[in-house]
Amino acid sequence: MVDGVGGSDRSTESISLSESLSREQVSLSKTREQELRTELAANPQAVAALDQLSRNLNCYNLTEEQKVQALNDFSAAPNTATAAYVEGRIAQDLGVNSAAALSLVSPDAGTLTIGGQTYSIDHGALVDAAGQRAGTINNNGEVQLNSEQQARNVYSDLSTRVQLQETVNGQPQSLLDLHPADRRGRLDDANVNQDFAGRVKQTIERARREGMDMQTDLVSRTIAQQDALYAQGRTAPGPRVTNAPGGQSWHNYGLGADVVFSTPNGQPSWPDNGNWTRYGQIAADNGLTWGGTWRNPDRPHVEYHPGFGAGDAGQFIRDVRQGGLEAAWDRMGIGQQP
Amino acid sequence: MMRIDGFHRACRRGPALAALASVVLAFAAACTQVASGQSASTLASSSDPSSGLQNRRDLPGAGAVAFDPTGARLAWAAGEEVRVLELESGEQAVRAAGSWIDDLGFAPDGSLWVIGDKVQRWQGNALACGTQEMDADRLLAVDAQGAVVAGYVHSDGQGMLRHQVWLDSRCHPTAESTLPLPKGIADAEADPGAPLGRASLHSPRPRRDEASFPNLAGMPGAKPVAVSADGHWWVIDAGGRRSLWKAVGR
Repeated sequence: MVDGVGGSDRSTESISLSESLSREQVSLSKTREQELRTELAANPQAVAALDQLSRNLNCYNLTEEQKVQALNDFSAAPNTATAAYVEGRIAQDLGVNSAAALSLVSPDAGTLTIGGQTYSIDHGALVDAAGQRAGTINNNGEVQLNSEQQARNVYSDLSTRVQLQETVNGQPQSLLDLHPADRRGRLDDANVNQDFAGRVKQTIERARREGMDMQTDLVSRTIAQQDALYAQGRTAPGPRVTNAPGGQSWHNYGLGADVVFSTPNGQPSWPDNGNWTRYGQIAADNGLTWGGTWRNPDRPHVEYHPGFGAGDAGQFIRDVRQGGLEAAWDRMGIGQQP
Repeated sequence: MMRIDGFHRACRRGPALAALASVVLAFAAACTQVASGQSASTLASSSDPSSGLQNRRDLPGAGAVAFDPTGARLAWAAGEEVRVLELESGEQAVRAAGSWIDDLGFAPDGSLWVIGDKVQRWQGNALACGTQEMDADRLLAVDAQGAVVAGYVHSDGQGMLRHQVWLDSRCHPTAESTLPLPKGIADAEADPGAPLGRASLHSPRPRRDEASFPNLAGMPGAKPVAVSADGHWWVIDAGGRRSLWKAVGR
């Protein structure tokens, strides 16, 4: 009796639990997707790629766990190329139209310049200037050259020029288009603090992963160079071009950098409608102070001065004059010499 | 990666979905199961009757491109290399610039200015001269006496500045100016530069009347990038990929 009632109750409870678990599981992928949407909200291109992926995931019978895994795979480099790659891997595992799936995993066409060599891309194969197959590239940004054991990555190698295309309805569509981010090696300048430089590189790498084509502009400017610029329009001919005398800018201590966008030809670009806010968020995630939120916004500018404020640059001029840049960095606890 | 049990039935009707969302790459590829197997080299042997152009070759990695006004030659930047193509013979020469190339253009005498870490002038296959390292991004103008280059740099709280440098034919700087960029200029390519100061100085990329452009309606998204002085040769950009075309029947 008790058992019967109890059994019946347990059965009801069991169904209820199952439904509850199902609902909970359903919410897992939705929750993960919402997390990504929140993180990427200031990057419309990345959100569009997420929209595309989440729509297409519904084409497949996936468990919640699988959907979450797909979203996590996408989050490593949330852009259109990755969306294609993630879906292509799913379609491959599923055995759906293997040629189309392969086409999603690897780019149909494009170009790659890496390690000083330029390659054409032909359905995932890298073809060198002599027409020889030299390696492979996938839409997840992974490059494998035949001459190397270790794979390279188009995002973390900031000197890479990459352009990935898919053919859609007979027309080429760009999936990813990135230019060298520090082609003049400004972040490796001896006058640039390498703790700071590492944070800027991480910022740019993440921006590249999100499909933002960015490049360094000004990084280091010596105090003497700053003084010369400050003199213009004051004691030297020409209009004024800066408000900061030597020592007042974090650039003078190798702790300031300006990062701008790239045009399709790789030229510097500073469009009002660029994803500046997202760039600032990524910079802040890497411990940098972004100039975009200042009273007079300075959107390309980031700086790093642990323990000190943005307006404190001038107090380090004496350190530099007495002990060089290392003395200033030491006072901030980011010296490079033991 | 993950194991997947089956393909959702609704997505097998993909073509209709793809028509509604043709720009959605994944729908086009997976849900509609199209767009695979087309060779990237297809373009290299194609022609487009409506444009009157015939494709001659792809320009792998092409950034800046320039036609030689004195002869049938095309130069393009491919990373750290300059590639120079003799248009009629197809013979190609490769020159190492030693750094990433941002811009290039021919002088009236056929020598080639190259903008990298240094500004270089090449005469034939020989390096005629080079500057010290300078932050130049663009080649603004050339003439027989030299060239004008510009670099763009941000100034704290001031916005972008243009640093313009005049070089003589031996690559020696003869003058320079640093000026705030006028408002509304959002990238280096949109900047006309400060007044050049010499009437003979002209852009290495002369503007052409759009009426002379080929009809590219048959190549959606394609646009002309450069044209030879005689109008016979065109560089066409399609989705960022550049290729050389020749006008048919001219």
